[in-house]
Amino acid sequence: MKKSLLTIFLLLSVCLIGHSQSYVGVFGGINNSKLSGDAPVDAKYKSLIGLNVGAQFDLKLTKSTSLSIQPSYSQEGTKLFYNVSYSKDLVDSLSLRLNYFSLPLLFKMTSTNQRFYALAGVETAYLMSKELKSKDISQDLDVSIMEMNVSLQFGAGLRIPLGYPRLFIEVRYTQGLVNITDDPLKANILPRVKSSGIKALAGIEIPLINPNK
Amino acid sequence: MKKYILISIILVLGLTKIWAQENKNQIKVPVLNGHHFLTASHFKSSFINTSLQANLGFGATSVLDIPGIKVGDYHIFGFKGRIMFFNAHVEYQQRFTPWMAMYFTYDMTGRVGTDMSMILADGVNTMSGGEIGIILRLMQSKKLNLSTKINAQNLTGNFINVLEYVEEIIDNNPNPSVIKKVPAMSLEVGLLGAYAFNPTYGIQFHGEVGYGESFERGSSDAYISGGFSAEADLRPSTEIPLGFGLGYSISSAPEVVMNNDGYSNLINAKVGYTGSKEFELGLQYTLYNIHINSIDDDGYINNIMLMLKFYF
Repeated sequence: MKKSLLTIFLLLSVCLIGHSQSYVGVFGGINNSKLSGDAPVDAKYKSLIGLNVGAQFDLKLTKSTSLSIQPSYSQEGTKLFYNVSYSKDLVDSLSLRLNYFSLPLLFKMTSTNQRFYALAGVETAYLMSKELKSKDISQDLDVSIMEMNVSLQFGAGLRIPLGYPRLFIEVRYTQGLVNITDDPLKANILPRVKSSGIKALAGIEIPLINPNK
Repeated sequence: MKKYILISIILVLGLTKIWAQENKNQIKVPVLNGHHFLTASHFKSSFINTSLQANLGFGATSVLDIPGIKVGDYHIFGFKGRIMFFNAHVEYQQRFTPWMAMYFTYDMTGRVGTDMSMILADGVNTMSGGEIGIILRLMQSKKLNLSTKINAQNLTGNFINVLEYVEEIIDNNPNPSVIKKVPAMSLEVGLLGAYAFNPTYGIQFHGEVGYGESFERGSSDAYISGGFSAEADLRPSTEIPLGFGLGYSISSAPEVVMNNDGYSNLINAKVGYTGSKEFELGLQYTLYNIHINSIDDDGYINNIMLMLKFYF
């Protein structure tokens, strides 16, 4: 894993340095994620807020398109609310935190006024750690979670020029493509449980070569 | 999914306000060679624009004879009659560049009726979910517009299956349920086109290939859809602002065929108002076949849909 990441970084650096229209940047924000699909009996998935921080490398392909690689740390997961006999409402019972190293590969398409952009792409994520908590006390997780997750991302953003660097804010919708567990539900029925969420991110990016020179 | 789509729509509507101020007197409805194209409910328009669409429909099956379960000399949970549905579709598309737009949809279908046998008849009970994707223009000339789309679709179907419910009780399942909830996720790519012969006549066509989970658990499948709609706009020749469309499509997509294999053939007819530069109002009738596992013959669904689409 480490070796492949290093190779990716080296390749990326070579590509970016050789390209005059490239941007590098950092970003951070919140990740409102949850699982969707088959839930345990009498339970419902609800959103869990987490952090998302990372770096981005944008390689301009044409005047209005660029390819962005964004190695990042992403806290995902879900809350599980159970229907219990003593309460009319669902009870906030468990929270499952999944921490990923993710590598989104996104195409950014900029509007004609160069301020707004849309993005779409694929994110592959490697599960670094997981934790199941009930009332802030760690519990044993008796379900296996897949180490790799693949998801699609769609979003839109706004760039705010600040002279040489520029700020950006963006919103992304993430939809998992693979089931995050393959432990059978009942009678060999494989569950269909995928991650989904909304990311609200802000960051700063700078061109590798000063455009004024 | 619902919440996310709603938040995204609100955010993007804010952006629309800024973009919408660019060209106030421009014709915003999709036009090629002077022909105004109508919007169809079962396939996406090939045009890159900013629009908000809402469809509201009502459908009924042909007379179904579902045998139910034989206990001794009696059949229980049998059903003979029509099952009625309502369906709603909301779609927002945001143009980012002249060649690219992003869109979100939300769909909901539900069974209506108060008769117990109608409520317990096998088949779809409710279906909801959405789609998010991008549409890219491949080429545009005076007469032809050609686009491609890539999207992800996430649906949840609730299906009534009385036979499986009884089996679960016999098997001492601690949580037997007459309604089975099945989530299904799929990816799709498609080719969309529109061709205007002259200001009066035009044709729209589509072809999609998808891969993903079906509403039958344990299986992932490839799906295809394709078809066309031929249209005539009376306005250029008679000044009457009405357009008519007649089309045929074939589809194996889960949202059409539900939890069954095979293909559905859709025949549709549409009448739409073509007098506005900014919106379209239309009424579409669709007739299509659907196979229901518990009966031998295909059932038919008649659907009438009111469609309203605003262009920004």
